[in-house]
Amino acid sequence: MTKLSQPSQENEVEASVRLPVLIFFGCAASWLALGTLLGALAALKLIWPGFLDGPAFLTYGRIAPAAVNALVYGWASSAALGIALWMLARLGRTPLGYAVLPVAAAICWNLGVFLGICAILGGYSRSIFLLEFPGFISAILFGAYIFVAIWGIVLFRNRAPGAVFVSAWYLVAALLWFPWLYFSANALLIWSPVSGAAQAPIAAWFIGGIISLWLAPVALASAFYLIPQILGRRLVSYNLSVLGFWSFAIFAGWSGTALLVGGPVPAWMASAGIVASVFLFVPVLVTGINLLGSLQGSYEALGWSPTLRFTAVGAMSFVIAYVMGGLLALPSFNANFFFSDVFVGQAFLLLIGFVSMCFFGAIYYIVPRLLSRPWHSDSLISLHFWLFVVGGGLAWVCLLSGGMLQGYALNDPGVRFASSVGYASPFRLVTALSLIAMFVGSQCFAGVLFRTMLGALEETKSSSQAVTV
Amino acid sequence: MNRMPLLIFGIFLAFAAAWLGLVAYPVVTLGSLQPVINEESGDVSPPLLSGLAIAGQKVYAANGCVSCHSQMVRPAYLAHDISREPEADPKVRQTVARDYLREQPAFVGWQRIGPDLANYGLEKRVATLSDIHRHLYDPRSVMPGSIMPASRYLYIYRKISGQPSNESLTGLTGPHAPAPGYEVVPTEDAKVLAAYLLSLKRNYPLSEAPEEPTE
Amino acid sequence: MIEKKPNSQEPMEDGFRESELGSKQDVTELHASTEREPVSVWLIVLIMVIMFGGGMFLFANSGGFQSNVYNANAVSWSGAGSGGPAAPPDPMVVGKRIYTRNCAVCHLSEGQGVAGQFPPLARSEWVISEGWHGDNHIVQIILDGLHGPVTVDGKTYNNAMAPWGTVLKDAEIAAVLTYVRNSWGNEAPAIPVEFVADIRSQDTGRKDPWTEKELQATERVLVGAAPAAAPAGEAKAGAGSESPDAAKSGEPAAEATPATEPTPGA
Repeated sequence: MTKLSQPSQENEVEASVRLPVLIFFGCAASWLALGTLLGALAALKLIWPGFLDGPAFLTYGRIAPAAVNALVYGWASSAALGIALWMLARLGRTPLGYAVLPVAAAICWNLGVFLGICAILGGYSRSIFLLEFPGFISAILFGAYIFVAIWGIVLFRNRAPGAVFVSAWYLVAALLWFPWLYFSANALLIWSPVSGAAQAPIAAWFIGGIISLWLAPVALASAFYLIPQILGRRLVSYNLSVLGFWSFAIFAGWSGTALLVGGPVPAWMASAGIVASVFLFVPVLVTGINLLGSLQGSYEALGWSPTLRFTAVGAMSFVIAYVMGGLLALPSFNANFFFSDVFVGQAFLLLIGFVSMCFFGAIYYIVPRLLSRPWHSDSLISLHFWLFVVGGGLAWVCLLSGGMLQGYALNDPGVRFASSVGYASPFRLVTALSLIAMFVGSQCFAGVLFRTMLGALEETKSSSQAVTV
Repeated sequence: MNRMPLLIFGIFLAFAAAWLGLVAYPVVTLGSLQPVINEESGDVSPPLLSGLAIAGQKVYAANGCVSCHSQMVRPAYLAHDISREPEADPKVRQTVARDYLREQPAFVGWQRIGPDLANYGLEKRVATLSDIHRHLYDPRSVMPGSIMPASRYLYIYRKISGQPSNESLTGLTGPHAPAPGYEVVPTEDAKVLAAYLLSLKRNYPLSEAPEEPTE
Repeated sequence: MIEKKPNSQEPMEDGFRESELGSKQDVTELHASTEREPVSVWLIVLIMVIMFGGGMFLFANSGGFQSNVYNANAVSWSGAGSGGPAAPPDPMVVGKRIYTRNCAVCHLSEGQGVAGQFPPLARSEWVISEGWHGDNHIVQIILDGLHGPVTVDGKTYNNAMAPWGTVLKDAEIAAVLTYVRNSWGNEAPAIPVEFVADIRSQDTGRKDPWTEKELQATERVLVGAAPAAAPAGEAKAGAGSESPDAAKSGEPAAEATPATEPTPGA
């Protein structure tokens, strides 16, 4: 086993974050597997409603939210927390003690997600999108998060003096926004709900915020760090990254109410959401130029670096997904495609194509450095990549195509509702098959992650035995 | 961008602006909306729900009905939702914030894998609770080709002891219809859910939702 | 496992390959120089165009930024006198309520009346102001009542209609008349509130209910039109010239109707 020798200071930094980060990543990989499995099951039920329709916990109305929550809070948020911790330690070049706290927080977070998924399947869902967990479970998650976030912010505050890199801005922003976002939404919709009349805009704001103010900044932080790091050269334009960050910060929070065009909210809120979604073209354009421009001429590196491959796909999906989001907010498109699979497709591209791919890239970069050993199997990584790119891409295309047909049918008063279902069905079938492919891909990912971690564990055991002997 | 306090302040400000507009403002304005009482007729808009219907909201939430069904009617200048809603008098109109006053949580919904339910109680073919029970128990026996999941777990399939119960579902067809000597009886959850669904009517007039000209 | 990179001796451990350039430079160091790359002017121009367009859209489609306006097109910033923060209530809705409560007792819910007793309102020339009937006549009937023999659609009725002028406000009279004139096969222009107010102000002093003969002697006035000079004509011309605008502001949805009415020569 060859190991590159690394400066001892970095070893110390890596060592201090190793355990909580690995716990987050290990749990995240498990949630990804469960989430894609439940997602595939839910998609199959849309084609064959009679499939496994007996027991209550397998009904579509419980499986679908369970899948989404497993992917958002289980996979994406766990991975985000792990990446944020590692990157803040790396960027700050400062190790920190009291590792027990973030370890306990990592366990609590994932335990909370587990309880939440069980609650949803058991019929205790609160039925607000992305806030389905019962109140006490979201309180557990919030508490666990606070510990991790405090640790991360302290890590960053004690950083070595010097310039603050763009990734750090995104990470600090995400770590500060998420608690406010999560607390507000839970306090007003779950713990002490406000009147039903006021809930729609808050729910829409939260949906926009979870993606754009929590997961997207961490994914962008990861992309901004990894692309220059692997290629060994500067970003195309550092000025653009400042513009991109602030324009994203200002407009992303308002974009959620584009989900309520024509909805039960004052007209100005929906219009503000439309305008904000279109204004997001600015940071997307700017950040896209920065990231994709920095990837210019890197084809050879894309060959040997899975991190770069995943991150490149993530960066492209970022641009496409937010451009789609801006277009779908426009009233003429919104009128036809809202409520259809088109919006599901755009959310899918955001969560899987953009956020997940960037997180995969980050995890493939971070874990070898934490464990000081390379990945167990490059072919599993390659299989993972292609299953997700082909499966995810196919699912996205099908959701869009079927969704467009469905949307036109939904908005045509002369067409029976059943026809809209009929149009979407064949595309939903292919989507279900693609989700199964992604489930297999998630198994590859989990497999290579756990095998590598086990290998590192065995190695430390055998080396400690060697010492004692 | 290297000054942390400025960065933190800017991050805070950017978020606070959207929070004030999309969270604080609705709580203050929409959250203080009250039902409208018509001085002449004494009607309350939105009308009070029966206790059964309020309990039914919890069953609706527990079973994730909102994953497939929206309850949001968009105005005529934007989309053709109103033309798809059932015919009724007063005419069905755009849903506004006050329409969700009695719902907890507000089941606005983001997808139409199944049809919009904002005015389900006005559907002509859903005249009685039995119609709803039959639909919930076996959707495909009522609507062939439907992809709605069956909620058989909300019903009890049992041997008839003595006389059939007066709550047992009648007119069931299809593969899950009860065999001779058996009956299907709704559980409490099914009964309150059906009561809630039957209560879904949002065509009472509200001043903030003016009637739109028909096309 | 570890594969060899095709044309190099180095094992392909992506986990550790840092940089093609060979030097292991941290990203922060790479970007530490204070050199600022220039940002393209065209990018800035594009961004400004996007934001300008978006701002225009926002102000045009926000219903005046009010919390009870759900129609994005309803109230514009130019403040075209919609008379208050709330969108005006639809006369068809309000009128129907008033009709059901007050008028349907005699004229019945579909305006069909009762043969021999109460005249019908559906397809009645009185309601849609055909022939000698004017819009002012039906307003006067509601304000002061009607008695004696009347002929409606060829049939005669001889009954008494109570006055409603003290019971119903101007807005309510306007709404119920608008409702009746646009229901059950009737189609006639809406009655604006100002029209009713004008007639009420001219009508003070009248105590008795009208008869058909008296109404026939009264000048016929239509909503929005300025008739030839008459003693009451000045006030009516004034009412006439105001009506199109009043009609415009009274009904946010029916923008087309004022345009079809003759513009008053003012």
